[in-house]
Amino acid sequence: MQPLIELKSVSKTYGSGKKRFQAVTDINLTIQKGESFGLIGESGSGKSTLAKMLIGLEPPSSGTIELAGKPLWEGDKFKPQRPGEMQIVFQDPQSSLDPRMTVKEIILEPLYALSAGERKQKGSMERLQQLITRVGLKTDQLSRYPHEFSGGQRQRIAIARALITEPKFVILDEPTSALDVSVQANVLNLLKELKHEHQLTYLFISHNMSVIRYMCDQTAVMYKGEIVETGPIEDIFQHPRQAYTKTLLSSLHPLQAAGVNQAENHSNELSP
Amino acid sequence: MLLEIKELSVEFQSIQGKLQALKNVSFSMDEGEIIGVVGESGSGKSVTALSILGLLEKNAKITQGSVFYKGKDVLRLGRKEQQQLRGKEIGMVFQEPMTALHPTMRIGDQLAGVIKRHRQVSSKEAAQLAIRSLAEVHIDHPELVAGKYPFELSGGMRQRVVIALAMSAPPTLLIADEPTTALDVTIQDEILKLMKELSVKRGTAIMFITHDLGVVARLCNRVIVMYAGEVMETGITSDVLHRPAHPYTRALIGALPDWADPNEPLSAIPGETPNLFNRPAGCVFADRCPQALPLCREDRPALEAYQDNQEHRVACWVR
Repeated sequence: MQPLIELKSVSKTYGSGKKRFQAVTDINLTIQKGESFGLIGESGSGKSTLAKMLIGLEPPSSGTIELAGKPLWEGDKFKPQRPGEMQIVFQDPQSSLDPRMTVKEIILEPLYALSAGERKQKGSMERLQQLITRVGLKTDQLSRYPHEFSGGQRQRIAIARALITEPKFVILDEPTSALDVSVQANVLNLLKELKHEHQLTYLFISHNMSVIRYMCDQTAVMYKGEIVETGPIEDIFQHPRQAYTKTLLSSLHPLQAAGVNQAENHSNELSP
Repeated sequence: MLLEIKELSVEFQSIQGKLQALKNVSFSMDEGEIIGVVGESGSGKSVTALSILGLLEKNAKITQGSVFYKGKDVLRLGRKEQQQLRGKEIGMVFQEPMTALHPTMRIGDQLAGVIKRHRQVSSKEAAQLAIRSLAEVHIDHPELVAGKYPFELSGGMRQRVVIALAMSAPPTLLIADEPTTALDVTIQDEILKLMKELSVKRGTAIMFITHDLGVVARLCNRVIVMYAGEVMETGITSDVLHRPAHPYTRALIGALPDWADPNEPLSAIPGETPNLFNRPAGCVFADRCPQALPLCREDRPALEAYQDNQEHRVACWVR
């Protein structure tokens, strides 16, 4: 089967001479259609650089990136086959939403990359209302501004904006790390449901191992610009091979180490 | 007893009216103890710390309660006495290490300045002590780092420097407000180990403010769970995490993806935090609580012993 995303020996270098910095080194990666692919790494590991090259914000220095078999970059020019095919949700909904735009304007903005016909069809009021209700907001909130919403609600707006173009592939760059635990749970549930409803493929970037384990089928661990380990999620979590992955995992399980688990917490009583 | 907070209530005056950020918060700390104050945004955990330190903003008012530190009510102290308490008796470490450091002053000079303020030493001795304090927070080549500026250091290194600053007096109590939240997980691990080590070695009590139950499990002997400016549950960490008595604590643990079955939705907490401008008459969690009774909306439950365990206390009618 042809993978949806394929990276072949992709590298990214910033600057030159003494200031040369290799952010990403020789990355090979395939993401199959319908997968949730997790990308784990700490700050400076190159995961956001990778996302930027996928979404068209930074050209790779070498190597090829293909979407459904078609190269995304021609030299330094980003040439996606169909605009709106890929979307991204950023970490901080505080800075990723324009404070001077209404929610409606924010959600509809990605459609400007599309043809007039498509724009009309996808930007219909009915569709907009459907989408905003689907992400858990009310239609009368469309005329409001971002500052009137909580962090979790803002991230819902960012998710609606990502889905308006009906993308196949969505990059989620630390979508819940700025949110409180209880709000995070709501947003993760929503992302899972939307993936299923729209047959989406996710690249889920996070430094939070338990979020990755919950959300993804496949994962890659990045360290200093390289992928040090990749495979199905259970393999990586049960049998990590690389020392670095083991270090990451050892910092994950303090509650389990303390013997806490959900069963003991009678979580069933909480279900409505 | 080192610190005793009694019925502390804090109000913020804003254009929209009076916001009650803390309501009847009570808990205590023993010498050398590490306690975790855990809660989500708006729970009042940082306001609690700032009240103890006398660092609340001008629009905040302590409407009720007292904070006894070594038997003295610190809320009744004058400005000068409070200043002496801060740094010398009570050290502070905040989330963002860059903002806690002077950007155009060398690390060694910043440390030496603080050391000279609290101890009777010459400048030369202070400089040597500064290097020694960097070594104590496990910074390699402390002489070299002493000559550097904050921007030349990584986030983890900066937080070590801030801890060295806070510990230089050395204080009897260290208040740390989300000190590892801005750091990578592996660095976070090292900082937690360092803080525990310093606490054990010097007998410093630590009040660790965090939103992360994992950090609490690893570091703290006892935990205070806060929600919407009130204490919901307190107890020995393992008791609270193994047998959470408050529905909010249970929901918080349940919302973590750590043990969740990927094929099942996470158990999220429905609804939103209450409006602190207009607090509900009963329990603050009642509107989101799956077990709420009519009584819960009428009367505010007091913090009482859970299953006859005097250490483990919970503010809930449905116990």
